[in-house]
Amino acid sequence: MVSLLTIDTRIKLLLFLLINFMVFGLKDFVLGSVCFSFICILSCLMGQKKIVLKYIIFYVVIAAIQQFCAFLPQAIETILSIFTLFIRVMIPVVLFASTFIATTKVSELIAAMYSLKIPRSITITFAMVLRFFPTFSEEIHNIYDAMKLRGIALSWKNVFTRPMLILEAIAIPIVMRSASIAEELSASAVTRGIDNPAQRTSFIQLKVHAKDWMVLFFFLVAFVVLFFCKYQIYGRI
Amino acid sequence: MMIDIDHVSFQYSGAERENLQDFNLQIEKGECVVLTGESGCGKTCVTRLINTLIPHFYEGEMSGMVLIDGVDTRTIQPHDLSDKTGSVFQNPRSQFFSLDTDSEIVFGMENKGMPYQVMLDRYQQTIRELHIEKLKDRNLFDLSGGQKQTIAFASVYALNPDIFVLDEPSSNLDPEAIQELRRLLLLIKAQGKTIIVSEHRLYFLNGIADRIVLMEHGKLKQSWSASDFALLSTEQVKALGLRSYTPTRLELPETTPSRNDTPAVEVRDLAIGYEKGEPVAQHLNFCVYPGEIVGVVGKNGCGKSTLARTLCGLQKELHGEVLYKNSTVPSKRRIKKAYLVMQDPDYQLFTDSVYQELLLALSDQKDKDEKRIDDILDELNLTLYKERHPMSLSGGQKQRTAIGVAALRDAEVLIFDEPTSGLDYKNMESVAGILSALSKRGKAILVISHDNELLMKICSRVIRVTERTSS
Amino acid sequence: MSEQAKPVGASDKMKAKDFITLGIFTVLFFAVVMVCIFASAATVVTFAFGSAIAAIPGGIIYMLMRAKVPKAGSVLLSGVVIGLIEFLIGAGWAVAVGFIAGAVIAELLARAGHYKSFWLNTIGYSVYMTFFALGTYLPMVIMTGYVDDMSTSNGVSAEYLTELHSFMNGTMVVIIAVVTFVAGIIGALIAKGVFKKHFQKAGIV
Repeated sequence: MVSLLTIDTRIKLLLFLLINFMVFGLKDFVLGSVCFSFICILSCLMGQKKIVLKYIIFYVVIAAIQQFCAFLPQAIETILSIFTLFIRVMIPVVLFASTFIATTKVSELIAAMYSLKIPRSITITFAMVLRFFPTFSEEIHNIYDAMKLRGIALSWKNVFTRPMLILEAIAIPIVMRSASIAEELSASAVTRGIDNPAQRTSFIQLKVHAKDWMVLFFFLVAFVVLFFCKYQIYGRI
Repeated sequence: MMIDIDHVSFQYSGAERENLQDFNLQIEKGECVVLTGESGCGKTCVTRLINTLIPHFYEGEMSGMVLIDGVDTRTIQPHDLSDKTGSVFQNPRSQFFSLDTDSEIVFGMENKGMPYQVMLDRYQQTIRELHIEKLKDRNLFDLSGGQKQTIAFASVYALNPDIFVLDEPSSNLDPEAIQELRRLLLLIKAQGKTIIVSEHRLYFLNGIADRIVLMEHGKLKQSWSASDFALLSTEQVKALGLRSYTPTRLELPETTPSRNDTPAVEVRDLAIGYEKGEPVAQHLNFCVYPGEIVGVVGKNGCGKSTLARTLCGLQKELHGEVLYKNSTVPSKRRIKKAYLVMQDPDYQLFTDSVYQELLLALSDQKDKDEKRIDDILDELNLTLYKERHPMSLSGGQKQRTAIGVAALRDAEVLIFDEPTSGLDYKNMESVAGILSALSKRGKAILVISHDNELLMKICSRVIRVTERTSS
Repeated sequence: MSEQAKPVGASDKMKAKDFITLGIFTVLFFAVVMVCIFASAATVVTFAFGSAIAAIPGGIIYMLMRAKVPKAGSVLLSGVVIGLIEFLIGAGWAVAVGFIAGAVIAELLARAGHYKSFWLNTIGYSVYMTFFALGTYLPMVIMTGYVDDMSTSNGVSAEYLTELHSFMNGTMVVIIAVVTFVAGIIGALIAKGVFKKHFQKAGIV
């Protein structure tokens, strides 16, 4: 049994960037699929076998639809093939995104951002986005319950007869709650020194190991090799 | 002296009048001072002077000066004092910056730039001294309100400040969590920390406070030593508009009265919870008659809110039946039978005036007579505010508006979830009055609350929801 | 009282309070955009205009952020952060670049009006959403690579498709951009109405 591969968050971010560029340059089926399989293997090593399986199925289905397009009238065929091609090209990126999210703790991501010397303005704002998502979800559920209680649930009838009211019933409470949470949260953060311009230290100790560099190196090599192949086949990058 | 507030006046931007008027207060090292008074008296404002959120965070106009250990707060920034003054606020859910407990505890230390080894030592010391081993490395969203408040406290404790400022820390806590808060306060008092607490609920500070300061309209009205305050009678305390200094015991029967008429709502062998998991509570059997006000009590997390939601049809029961006027009603159709006033009125108000809000409440009911609105406004003391936007009102006024909406619904059963959390004595009395009036009109009322003063005032009995069973 | 009351608490520079406010409202904005994009995926035609649909309710949140943080850098910051989020969920680098580029222009426009001019903020918003649209849809129709794919998997005449693609490129993209821009203006006007009816009355702006 191979043990779970964990990669330093900063290397994962670099990989993510690299993968983005790879898929955009390798849109054809053969090279693109090779790229996809590398990412599948990486994700499996990182413990995401279930997700990988789902994405492989998805990939195969989309590729099949693409082939099927040849049999359709030309107008529909062009639109659909552009569409499905785009999806197929993006699948590896979305797969890696899922892997990234599943294997990275929020605190690790924030620590990585601070260590990469990303400006505090961006890191704090970004950290807040991640922090607020679950709260947002809770708030929306509560708001929807309140709407149900007052007979303004999201039914087709209500959406057509009183759309503005529905909009107000959702928008006003969520905006008010968000504003008040923002104030309370920032007051608490400010009293604990978040505005301190001095260098911040990190409780989470991030360390890049040899294996992280090896994975990155592998993908860099793959990048070069695949683009070389592309040059050979199509005569351009 | 530790804290010197010298002739401070302050008015928030956009406020109609000053929140503090020529306020003076001196606090010695190691003292525990409790600031109390009606809502809007300025006690929160004073706490903000001490943790320097005024003048550095809240916008307004200020005159006078505040010295913390000799330093004028206008000359420094909040982060300069983060290891001198720590603050705990009233809402456990919106105080934490991180998503897990460990990150939250070390948050202040990281901001200060403390070396890793020091942070590690302090972290372990905090866990040890506060006895919170069970809260290590946990997702903050999985914790109860009380546990979240404890982590907020731990986050401040890790910085080891001399001064602890707490702004209505017990507002959202159940009695058990309040005891935990009391334990933490006793711990830091024993360490010689200076403590300032602004509060409505005074009983849990009995034995910790050295001085009680009563404020009114931004001014210091009266001040007692703790021993003098303890000598005041219950009537004298009430006359000052304050909550009791001694815990109010809940002495209400838990038995159902025997009556001949049909209950407004009845529950038989009910099991409630979420479909995936274990039932939160089961074998619930009770009924509530029209005109009754019944308290629903039990520890937090034992299913009181789940019960309320199940009765209203917001959630499906796992087993058993819910009957309204002797006929079983499936969960999909319960929404018209019972109405729930949620703990936070912000969720339930969304029009642009109090009048509109009540008009909307009336719009899909049987009796659409608009005169009912004027009557309700009068009963709720909101006539002066009828054109005001609901979100511009004070907490107590918003709560009354939400109750007004409930009063206009046809639903025969009204459920109130913590209607007086964070309210001062006067507002609590006002809510009590409204609920009594509603019951006299024949509504069956359930009040989920751990405010024993309210329950003793208006309830004839209680239903206790405990883990797994109900009496 | 001998001393004169002085104004306190305000600051021209963005501080943690502002970052946190922007972060929280970005979640709202992101949710609105995502819901609209998903809703628009019902048919191919509406999907092409997903960004335009999102621009309409999005205006409320965008204008709120401008009203709450009328300070230098706030537009750019919200653009960068939402771009980062889009990138990390796998929407691709192009969407991220779209948001950031749009935010740069919107920031400059907003600054010209000291962050308080309704029309400059509105045009900034429309530009912002238009760049988002371009970032989302341009990659779908960009030429190189499509030809490769087509010729290896379909065997249809490459020249014919190239011609068709460039025709669709030009028109479609321009149409989407214009519609999104107009939707942005509509969104901002709706926001103004909501502000007047609610947020100003409630005292939060």
